[in-house]
This record gives sequence, C-alpha cells and structure tokens, in this order.
Amino acid sequence: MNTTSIKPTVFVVDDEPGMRKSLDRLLRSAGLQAECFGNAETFLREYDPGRPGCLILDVCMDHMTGLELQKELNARRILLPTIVISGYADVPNVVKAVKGGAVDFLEKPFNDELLLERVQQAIRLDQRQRMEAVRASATEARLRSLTPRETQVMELLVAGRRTKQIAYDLNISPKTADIHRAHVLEKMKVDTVVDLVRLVHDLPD
Amino acid sequence: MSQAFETGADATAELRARIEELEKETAQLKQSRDAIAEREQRYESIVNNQTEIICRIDASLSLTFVNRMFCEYFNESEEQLLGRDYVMFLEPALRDRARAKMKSLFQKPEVTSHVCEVVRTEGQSGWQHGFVTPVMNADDSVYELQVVARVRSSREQAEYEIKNTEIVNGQLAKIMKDGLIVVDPQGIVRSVNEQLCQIGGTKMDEVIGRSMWDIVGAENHEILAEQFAKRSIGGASQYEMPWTSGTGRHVSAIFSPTPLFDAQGRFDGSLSVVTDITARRETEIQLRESERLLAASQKIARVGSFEWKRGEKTVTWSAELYRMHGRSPETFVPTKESFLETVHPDDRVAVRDRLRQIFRGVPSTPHEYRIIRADGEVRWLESTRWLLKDDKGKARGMIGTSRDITSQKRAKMILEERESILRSFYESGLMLMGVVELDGDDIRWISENEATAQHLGTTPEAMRNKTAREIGISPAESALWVSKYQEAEQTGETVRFEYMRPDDPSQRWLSGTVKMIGKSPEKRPRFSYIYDDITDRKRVEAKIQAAHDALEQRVQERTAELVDANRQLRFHAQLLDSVRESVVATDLDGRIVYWGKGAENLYGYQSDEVVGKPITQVARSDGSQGELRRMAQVREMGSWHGEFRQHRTDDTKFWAETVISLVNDPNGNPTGFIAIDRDITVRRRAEERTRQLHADLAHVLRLGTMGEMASGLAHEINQPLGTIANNAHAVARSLRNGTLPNDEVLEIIEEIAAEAMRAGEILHSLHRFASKAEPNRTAVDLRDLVHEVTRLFDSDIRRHGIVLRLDLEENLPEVYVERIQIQQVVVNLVRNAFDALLEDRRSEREVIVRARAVETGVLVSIADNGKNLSPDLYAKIFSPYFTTKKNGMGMGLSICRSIVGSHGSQLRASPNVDCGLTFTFTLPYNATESAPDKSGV
Repeated sequence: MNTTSIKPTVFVVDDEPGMRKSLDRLLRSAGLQAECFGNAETFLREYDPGRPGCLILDVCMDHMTGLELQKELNARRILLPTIVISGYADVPNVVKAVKGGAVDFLEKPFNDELLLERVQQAIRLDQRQRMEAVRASATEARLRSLTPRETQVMELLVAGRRTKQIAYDLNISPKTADIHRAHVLEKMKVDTVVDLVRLVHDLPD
Repeated sequence: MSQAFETGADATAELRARIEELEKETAQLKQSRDAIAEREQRYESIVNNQTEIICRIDASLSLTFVNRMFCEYFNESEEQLLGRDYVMFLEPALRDRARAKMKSLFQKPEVTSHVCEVVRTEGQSGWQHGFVTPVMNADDSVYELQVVARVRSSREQAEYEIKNTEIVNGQLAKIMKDGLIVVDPQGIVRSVNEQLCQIGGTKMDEVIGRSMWDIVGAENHEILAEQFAKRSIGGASQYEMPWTSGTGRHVSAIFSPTPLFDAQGRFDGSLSVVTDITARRETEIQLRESERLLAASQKIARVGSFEWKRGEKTVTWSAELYRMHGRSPETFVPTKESFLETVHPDDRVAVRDRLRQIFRGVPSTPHEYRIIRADGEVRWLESTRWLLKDDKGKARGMIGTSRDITSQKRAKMILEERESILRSFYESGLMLMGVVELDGDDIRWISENEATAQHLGTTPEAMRNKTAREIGISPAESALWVSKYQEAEQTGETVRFEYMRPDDPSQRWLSGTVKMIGKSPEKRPRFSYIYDDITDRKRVEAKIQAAHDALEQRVQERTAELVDANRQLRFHAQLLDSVRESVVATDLDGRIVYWGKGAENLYGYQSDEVVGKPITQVARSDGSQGELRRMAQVREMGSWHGEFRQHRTDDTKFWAETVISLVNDPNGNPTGFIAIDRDITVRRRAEERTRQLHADLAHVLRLGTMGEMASGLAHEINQPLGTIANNAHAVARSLRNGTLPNDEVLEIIEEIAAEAMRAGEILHSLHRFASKAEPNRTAVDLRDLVHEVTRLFDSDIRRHGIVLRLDLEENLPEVYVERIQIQQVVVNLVRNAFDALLEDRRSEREVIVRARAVETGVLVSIADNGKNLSPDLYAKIFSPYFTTKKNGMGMGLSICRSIVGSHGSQLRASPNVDCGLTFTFTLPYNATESAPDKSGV
C-alpha cells in the first residue's frame, strides 16, 4: 500500500447540521476533501484508521462529547490530528482538549484562513506521522531478523561499545564479535555504526 | 327601612291626591261664584241704565264710567266722554264749588244729593237731581265717586217755571223783547205779556180768554194741531207761524213752546216764547245762513252745509260736505237728483219724503240716513234742513247742515246690541232678578224677571205691583227679605246673604244680593235684587266639608303613624350617615335616590347636587355600558363586587372598592340598588408599589438568571453565527476559484439568510426576557410563551443530554398574564429541574412542561425525574435566600411564588410517585374573550 497515493480527508464531527454542512462547504471550496459525521459514535464505527487527513471535532455534543471521542481515539491509538472547535472557549474545556491530544482549539465563528491553515498543518502532521510510522515498522522488521547474539551485539553497539569491549563483555573472541558486527550492519541495512544508532534512536518507545 | 319608606310615601301620595281633588272642586265653585258676581254687576248696570244718568269719577274728577243715558243725554259717545273732566259738564258758575265738594268726598266719604244745572254739548242747559256715592276700596279709602242723577223731565221743569209765572210776568216778561204766551190744552190763552201784545198789535184783555185757533187764522190750524198733539205727550219743537195782527199787519213770529203738566201728570197747556222776526226777517235769515255756513265750514270734519235756491238746478255744497261724500267739486255736480243717488238705497225713500215735508213747511228736525261714498264706503249722516221763505211766506230756497255721525252710530249700535244681550240675560237668566220697593213692612214688586215669577210659582204679570203678602209668600221668608232690604237702605251698601228657604220641604238654599237703587215717586225706597238657587253648591260644600273632616281625621291618624315611621327612618338615616363608607341608593334605572354623608365626603358631591342624576354621571369610571352589565349581574346574582378608579369634584382620583346589592320590596320585586364604596386608594397604592418592587426584583433576578445561563446562551448564538461565517467564506472562495457548483452557492446564500434569522430570533427572545417591562397584563398564547423561553435551553439540552419534553394541549384558550413574569417562572422552574438532573448521571433524564385547560384557568406543570428532596429541604424551598446551589441567590422560587400569587394562583411543589418534583400553578383565562362567566371581577 502506497500511503502517499491516498488523498487526505478532513473528517468533521458536529451534531449541529448547519455547522457541519457549512464546514463541509468551506473545506471543499478550499479544494479539500471532507467527510462529515453527526455524532462521535458513527465516526468511530465508520472511520478507517488507514485514511490520512485530520479531524474537526465539536466539543459540545449529545451522548458522546468531543472530549470523550478524543479519549476513545487515543485508546485505540488512532493518531488522527484533531482540531477541537467550540461555541465558547471556557478554560477547563480547552485544557481538557489539549491534554487529550488536540493539535488546536478554535472558537466559533472562525476565521476561514486560520481554520484552513490549521487544517493544512494538521494534514501535514498526519503525513509526517504516517511516514514515521512506516519507517519505524521497517527498522523493527530488520531488528526482528537479528539472532539473539546479533541483537546483543546491536544493543551494545548502539550503547557505544567497541568491538573488543563487546567481545570481552560477551566473553567471545574479538573475531567472532567482528563477524556479528558485520551481520548486524548488513541486516540493518546501514553502512556504519553511526547510521545504526540514528535508526534505532528514531524508533518510538 | 325601605318598607317604612314605601308605606309613608303611599299614604302621603293618597292624601295629596285627595287634597288636590278637593282643591279642584273648590276652584270650580269659586269660578261659578265669580260668574255670579259678574252677572250681578252687569245686572246692576242694566237696572241703573233704565232711567238714570250714571257715571263714575276718579280722584282727578275724570270720568271713568258713563252709562248709556249719560251718553244720550250729552249726545256724545262713550269714547268721547271717558277721561273728560266731570265738572266741565256743569254750569260755569257752579264749577268751582262742585270741584271743591267732590274733592272733599274723597277725604270724607258721605252720600250727598245735589241739584244742578248742566251744560249739554250743543250749548243747551238742563237740570239734574241726583246722588253722589263714594265707592270704597277694601281698606275703606275712596276709590271712585258714583253719580246717579235723574234728569228733570220737562214737566218738572215746566212746573218749576210755572211757579215763577209771577216773576215772568212781573219782571222777566217786562224786560224781555220776546213775547210770552201761556195757553191751556184747548188753546185758550191764559196769559200773555206786554211784548206779545205789541207783536200781535192787540191788547192783553183782548187776547186772554180767546182761542189760539181764532187768533192765528185757518191757514195755521194744521201746524197748531200738530203742535198740540206733540205737546200733550211732552214733545215740543220750535215753529214759525205767520200771523195777521190786530192792526192788520202781517207778522211772522217764531214760537218756542214748552208743554206744561199738572201735578197729576196731565197735559195742561203750554208756554211759548214768541219772537217777532217780521222786521228783520230777511237780513236775519241771511245773516244766520252765512253764520251757519261759516260755522259749518269751521267745524272741519264735522259739519258740511248746502244751499239751494228756488229756480236753480244745482245745489251749493260746502267743501266739507264734498269731503263727507268722498267726492270732489270737479267731478260731482250736486243736484237734488245726484244727491239722492248718493243716498243708500234703503234710506232713499225716507230722505225724499223728508225733503218733501220740508217743502210743505214741516219744521226741520235732525234726520239720520246713510250715504254711499264714491269709494263705496257707507257713512251715517245727520242732516238738518230749513226752508227759506220770502216775505209772502213762499219758499225761496233751502239750507241745511250735515254731520258725519258714523262713529257715534256705530258706538250706539254696539251699545244697543250689548243692552239687548244683557236684557235677554235678564229675561231668560236662571237667576231671580228684579226691582222691589219697601212698602212698610212688606215688599212690593216693581219689576221682575221670568225666573222670579217661576220661583214664586206665579207669572210676572200677576206679580207686578203686588206685595209679598198679596202674592202669598211665606211670612218668615218675607220677613227675612225685609230685614235685608232695610239693612241695604241703612247702609247704602250692597247686602249679600245666603239662607235656606223657610217652610220649603225641599230645603233649597238661596243666595241674595240686594242694593238700594233710589226712591219711588212716593218716596219709598227702591231696591234691585238678585237671588240664585245655590242648593247644589251648598250640598257640594257640605259634602266637601264632610270629606274634609274625614280626611282630617285620617290625616291625623296617618300623621301619627308617619311620625313614628319617620323617627325610625331618622334613626336609620343617622345610622347610615355615621357609616364612613359611602352609601348610595339608586332606582332600577341607575338614578340616584339616596346619597349618604359618606358619599358626600368620598366624592365631594352634596346630596342635593346629585340626587335624581344617573349614577354614571357621578361615579363608576366605565360609563353606562359597564353599568348596564353590572346591573344585569346584580339582578341575576344579587350582588356585585369590584373596584373603580373614581374622580372627586376637585378632579382628584381615588380607588374605590364597591359592593352593589339589589334592594327588594316586601314582595321580592327589585326596587333599586344600594352601592357601598370604600376608599381603598392607600391599599391600592401599597399594592401597586409592591407590584412595582416585585417587577423590579423579578427583573434583577432575570438578569441574574441570564448571567448564569450566559455560556449556554453564547453557544446558542455562536452556533448560527459560526455557520453563517463558514457559509460566507465558502461562497467567497468558491467565487474566486469555482470549486463549488453554482446551484450550491445559491443554496448556501439562502442558508446564510435563514441562519441569520435564527440568530435574530434567539436574540429577540433574550432581549424580551431581559427587558424591564412595566407591569402590564395582556392576552397571551401560553404555547407561544413556552416555546419561546425553552429555546434558551437548547444548548443546555445538547450539552447535558437532558430531554426537555413539551406536552402542551392543542387549542389552549388565551391566558391574561404578565408575559415576561410568567416566562421567568417557566425559565426558573426549568432551570431548577435541569440543575437537579445535572447532579444525576443517569441516562434517561428528562424535564416535562405540561399545560392543560381546567375550569379555573390553564394549569401549568413542570416536572423532572431527578432525585427526591429530603423532607427538611422540601419545607424550605420557597423561602427567600434558601438555595442548594453554590452561586444561587435563593430568590428564584421565592419570586416565582409571588409572581404566580399576583396572578391569583399558588405555586405548589409535590414529589412525583417514582422520583423527582413537579411544580404546578394556574393562569387565569383572558376574561374579555373566552369564559367570561368564570372571570368574576
């Protein structure tokens, strides 16, 4: 699956039909693709996490509020960047939204330039996140191809031990240590130990 | 109280009606009495009219009344005489003395008699003998003098002269130029004077004892015969007679004869004055002619004259005569024939005969006849003509005078007509009238009318000159009459009396009026009398007296009862007046019949200003329409209670609380209304101030509520604003880069408009809710009201997931409320319900607003399904400043309760069967349109 080939979509969750519809129009007029949902539950049910884009979420809704949906998305590890919108910006709600991982908080009515800019930012963030996620999963696959001895050697290399020190630590011959080192660099598809350290460091915790 | 009023008023009305009836009868009687009095008066004038001259004279001695005889005697009409000075009718020598005497009579009234010589209009003199009687006013002062005079007959005058024959012979006769001759009825000369002897050319002893018939010659026998015939009945006229004297001279003389009568009234010859006119015959005649013509022409408008000479065709008319005939000398040539043409056809023969007689030598006498003037008007003329003779006694012409007597004639005709009417009244009247004399102790009838005779059961002919005894009148009645006549004689007054006829089985009553009118030739006192049968009147009077007595008796009885009732009434009235409230009674039409002291104080009108006026002119601010509605209600329900804004006389205003009740008579029929008003201005003012304070507090609390609801409301307004902004931006963008299809752009714009409207509506209801409206009740559709305010909860509903259910009955009648205050109640109760549910995390939380029409109004309830309140909290929820909320003031439910209270209901809270609370209250119907029977006041 080529992630860059799918056009990003702006998902809108607002129980107020007028607001929903007008957002849809505003986004489309800016050449964006939008998809609207009248409540949080429908969105959760229908959203394919593989689809890139961002989420515009109204904070006040019947049943499941915006903040509750945020919590649920976090629980499901869906990292769709979320812009929280509200009729009024009371401090507790803003705090809760940001804590819940919202990238932005906008008060109705919005400046269209500002909203679209934030939407674009959110979409870019999503793309970046998705690319990083892809990259991380390739490194992990390489890591999984290492033998246990090679994994030990790779971890010690990343920790900054030299080959001789590794041979000593593992009570193996320096020659054997050198062979493991070569296998690790090959399997991890890096040329130098420096590249290896950068690759492993970029992995999420 | 009203019953005592009723009976007292009834009795008074009955008595008044009876008294009015009696008064009417009395008035009728008085009228008939007046008529009788008037008739009496007329009768007196008739009686006096017969033989006497009567006049009345006022204090300035001017004539105020003359009778017909007076007019005839002085030959002038009544109009000409009235107002003239009476004294001027007397001989000049008598005037001063008479004037003094008459004047003194006004000061010192007494009856006097007098004999005096009067001057008649033509210059002739005559004699009067009569009485002057003062006519008294009620206060005994003299009003007028009445002169009743008898004209001395020529007989009496002759007697008088005869008595003086010696003087005539001895002195007068000597100095007179004229001759005197006295002859007996056969024409035998009794006495002559020297002068006559000279005229006759004879000697005294040659004449006395000779017959006139022999002396004058056969040619004069005709004149003598006529003269003697006239004289024997008292008439006499001057005549001219040619006479051949003893010396053979032709003498022409004028005889002025006076007939003589003896004591028994028999004709006793005559006395003639003889004037010799032979010598100066022609000159005298000519002189007299010219004098007469002159005099005639000088009496403008009175006398015209004419002259005709034998052999001439035309007659000479004086200018006055032309004028009388309404002709002019230019167009009318007077001849005997043309003159006769002007005479009225009915009189023409008589005039022609007259003219012929003149030519035959018949002495001239005034002659009355009618002419027709050129303009057709009929006039009466009186003409006197004389034949002119030459020396040989042949007629050589005629002269004459004419006088226009139309006005006198007319007056005379009127008098004659009046007299004939009065006479017929006398003859045919029902009253007894006549003239009697007192003859000793008996009464003698001189004149009487038919009614008198009928009454005494006889005929006028049979009574004439008979006494009461002869006629057979009861001695008792006759004695009564005699005594009354004697009284009239003694006092000279009119005596009036009433009596029941003695010895009359039918017990008839008569009224009598008698007055002495003079004396008979035998010197017996003469009286006029009028008797009238007044039996009917007497009977009516007796009946009236009896009715009066009975009435008086009843009046006294009723008076006693009324006094008692009055005392009771006065007690009630004092009681009423001592009440501080205004007490007003009206009749069934709303006219004020009682206006108490309290009402005077309250309204400022005094009782006598307003009693009788419609109450709506004085009080009751809603006019006669409202009054009619109210009266109908009082008659149906028995009473009415309400409040009015009223005015006093000084235009100050006050509030009155009014109770109107129906007043019934003892039979239960309504007779009027009683209204009791109390000044409640102070109470009203306090109420109004409280209401104003309430409104202010409610407003403050509404603002507080608004503040508390601000975040939700801001969201509610931001919602459409955000939508509008998004849509507008979308359109702008799309217009720049064509990203949206055109039809969608149009749709977006339409939605922008719709959202803007929505935002406006929200703001409008917010504004309405926050405004500080004056307390003002209006007719309100409750469904609208609830829909409008619950919109304010939209954001709360969304935010908290609480269901707000509206269960409002279809076709609710309008209610009459303070719109904003009721909205405030609904908002407060719904918010309370929401707050109660917020603490509760259950999923099915709901608030239900219900509205139902019930008998007393629209029942509104607001229920939640939250937690039940603990009993101690439940007891406190309506107390001011009690709250369970952190930021609450605790005024919400308190103000709700007072608002509902001011709408005549009570806010109640009750726990639901399962859980939660329900608040209920009732709002009144709009009385002006629906369910007016439930509206009360």
